[in-house]
Amino acid sequence: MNSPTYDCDVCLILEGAYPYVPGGVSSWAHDLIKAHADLRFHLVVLCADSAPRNLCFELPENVVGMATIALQQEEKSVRNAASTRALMAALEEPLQRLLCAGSLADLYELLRLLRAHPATCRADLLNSQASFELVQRMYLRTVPGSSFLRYFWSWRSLLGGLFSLLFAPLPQARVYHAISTGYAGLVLARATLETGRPGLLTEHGIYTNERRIEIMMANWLADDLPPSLGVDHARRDLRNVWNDAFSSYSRICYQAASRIITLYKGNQLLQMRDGAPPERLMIIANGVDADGLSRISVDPAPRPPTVALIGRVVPIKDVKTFIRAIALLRVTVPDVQALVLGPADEDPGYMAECQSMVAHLGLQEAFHFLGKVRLADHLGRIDVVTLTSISEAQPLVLLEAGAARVPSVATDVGSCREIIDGRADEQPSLGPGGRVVPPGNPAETARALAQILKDPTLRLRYGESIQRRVTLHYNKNVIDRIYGDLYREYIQMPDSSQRRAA
Amino acid sequence: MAGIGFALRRLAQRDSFGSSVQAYGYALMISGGPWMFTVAALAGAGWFSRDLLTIEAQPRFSIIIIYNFAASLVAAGPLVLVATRDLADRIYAKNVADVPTLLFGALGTISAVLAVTGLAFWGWVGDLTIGERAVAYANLLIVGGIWIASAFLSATKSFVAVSVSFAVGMGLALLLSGPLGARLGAVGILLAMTIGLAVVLYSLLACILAIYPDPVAGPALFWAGLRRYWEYAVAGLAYNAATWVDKWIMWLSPGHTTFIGSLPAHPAYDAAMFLAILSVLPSMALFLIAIETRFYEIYLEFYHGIAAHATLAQLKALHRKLVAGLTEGIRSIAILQAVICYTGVVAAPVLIDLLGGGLEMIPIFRLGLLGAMFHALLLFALVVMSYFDLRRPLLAVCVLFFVSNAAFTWISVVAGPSYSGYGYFASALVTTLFAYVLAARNIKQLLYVTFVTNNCMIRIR
Repeated sequence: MNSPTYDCDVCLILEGAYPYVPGGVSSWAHDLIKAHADLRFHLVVLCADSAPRNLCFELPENVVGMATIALQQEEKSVRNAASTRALMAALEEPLQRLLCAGSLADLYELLRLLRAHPATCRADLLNSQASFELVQRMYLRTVPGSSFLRYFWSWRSLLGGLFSLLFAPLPQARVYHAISTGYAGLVLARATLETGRPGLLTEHGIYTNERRIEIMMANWLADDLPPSLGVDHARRDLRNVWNDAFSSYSRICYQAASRIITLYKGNQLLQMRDGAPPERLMIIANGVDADGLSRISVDPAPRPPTVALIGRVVPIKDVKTFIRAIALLRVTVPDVQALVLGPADEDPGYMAECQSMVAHLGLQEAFHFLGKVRLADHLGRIDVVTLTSISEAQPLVLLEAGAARVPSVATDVGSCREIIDGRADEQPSLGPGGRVVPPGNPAETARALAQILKDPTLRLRYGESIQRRVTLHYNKNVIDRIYGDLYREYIQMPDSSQRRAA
Repeated sequence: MAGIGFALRRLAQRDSFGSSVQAYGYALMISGGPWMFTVAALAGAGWFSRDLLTIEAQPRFSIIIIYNFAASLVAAGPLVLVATRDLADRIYAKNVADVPTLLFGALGTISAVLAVTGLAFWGWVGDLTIGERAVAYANLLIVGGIWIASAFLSATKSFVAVSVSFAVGMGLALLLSGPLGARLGAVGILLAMTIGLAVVLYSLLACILAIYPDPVAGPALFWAGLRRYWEYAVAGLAYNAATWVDKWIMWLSPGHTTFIGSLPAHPAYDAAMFLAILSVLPSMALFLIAIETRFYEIYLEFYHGIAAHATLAQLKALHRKLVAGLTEGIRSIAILQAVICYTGVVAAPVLIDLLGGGLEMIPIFRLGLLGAMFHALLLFALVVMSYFDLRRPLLAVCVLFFVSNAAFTWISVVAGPSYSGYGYFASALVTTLFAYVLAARNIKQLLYVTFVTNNCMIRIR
């Protein structure tokens, strides 16, 4: 077997993120590439459609290539070749399984069939008469009581995206690394099957979970059907079709990936629910510049006790609970000052509500919205950081504050408990770095804040603990080394000859 | 959670057929309407000029009318089909502010075309007086305008307004032809008819502008429609030319007669064929009154079913209902037309004799009736195709009609005078069969056609 020439070391597969969309995951990917300047990266970027986009990042020099795949491009042609009919008939079972409860074997079968019909193009799979008949058969097997129009478009979107990525050229890489499941995960699965090279998956948020929320909120997917009477006849509707398809896509990716990485323990339960093999699971948290932040010293100038919420003023951060907590806190700590550090222009309506709440509770003297600021300028003058969010993944602000010895009071969401109390398997055990409170509970939040503010020894102990934890487990340099070691391990791995033969 | 996201929400916008369920509710029959009117006008002209004009003066009048109608119908063909299609889209979308702009765009276009060709033609062709040339020229421009205006009014389903306009205008022409014919001879009759037609044109325009009183902009909007619906434009041209091409070939055949100096015609063939095509009138009436209404209901039910999220089983049932409705319509028209055709064939000698025609007209008339029987079914197929927006099949059928009518008529001319009429008959037969094969194939696959090939959101080319 000839050894292939590699276009790059790492092929990074991104869906709806870097380098076209700003945000946490995109910044993470950008930093990852920059942190491994010795490796050559090739990007495969999945976009919803082929609309022109602007780069939000300047690509680092070690990015040697980038391929964009538009998932939902419409095909304008049709060929009703006789061979298409045979192919569509053969595709029915694997496609049906792919949309319901697919496995890597089904994707393999799909690739094998397409390779056996090399003249087939994506338009044949979407626009031919045989394809339309296949849609009808799969509809009758899945949701015969639902809107056919909606199933038609659902089929076209779900499988149209799959077909797009099956026909797209992929770079030859030593290791493939997907930054989500979904369509990016399918690209990863296809690449591992076709090249025999290993695949890595890093999932920040759980893809199927995010899709499930979107699908739940997509009213256009609702079937206006009379509710069924018996429990035996729990009706499957189009939302199930979408959820099942995305779960199926995730499972295929989990089966293809050699390592399934996420940020914290809570996500792993969801990954296992979607079929991730437990022995491949791995946690690599996001890191912060612990060394730099630890150099921030406490401002010695006298000031009143200060509490800060660092985040955007939006409902998911539940700033209102923070305001109520401050109102309660003023009973025990009358001179407390509360700050909100973060952009306030994203949801003006919510911002206005928060401001009127501050006025209503008579907190104008004690409560300040400072807008977007440089965190390092303020951390030295903050005693406790608070996070009242109703949902988080792995909030970097707790880590950044922690690196500067500032303890936190945070709600029990995402990985907040792991960050504040330490993981169950933490060695050595470093002790709490703040307090974890239930979400939407101003009284508990106020009580925890009062304890820390009124007990300087406790505050100092928490600060020391959290700083040590961040330095040991959430240090960007350490995290970068972990990824570097992983990359090297899999880059050096020989081809899986069994897969290549496929 | 920022970053990874799949634009699921965008798909919601596709949750309808959008503009793909158009009320393609205009009848292609209106292109049959002017044809009927032409025949009626020619017959009427012959009748009311009989007592007023000398034997030599009569054909001078008829030949001008025939040439004007032929030229203006061919020029109007592409414009009428495109304008009615464009208009139907806008009426369906309740976006009618541009209707007057479209109307004057089409009127301006046909007037420009006819002004140039008409001037070149009536300016020097034939042996005519200056007065006759001027009236013939005006007549051409007015007739061209009428085809456009009546199409617009028909597309709004204002059949009553169209009928009243024609009745008033033609009644006035009849009244004026007495005094004007007596004073001016042939040109007086032509003038009376032209004045009548002008009244028709202006009352049609008045009706349209009363319904759509919006301001008028330039012709670019209409030309954009010509580009967008070029298949309809070519189909309209081919169809209208097809209905004349057998006459043109006969005019150039050995049996032709030359009028007013240099204009050839074939009076026996023309008269027999004009008379024969009148036999489709009852079918057209049946179609407009009964079939179209019923078919349109099922048609709407089908598309509304799709948009209202019917299940596949429901859609298949609606599809079967639609096919049954169409089959029923074809059967009604075929039976009616067969009865008329049979009666006409049997009664041909009597009819021709009553109308004062020569014996040579009888076989042509019989073949014309047979051809018209298929022609009626062909019209039905064309209407159905335009309802389902089957542009390419429609185009193919119209082009075949033109090519086959030209080819078969030419063969019949070569074969000899006893074969006159076989060309049109054979062409109507072949084209109708072809149209039904194409229409049946597409309508059998209507779900596929609607969801995929004709879906404006996929828009296969």
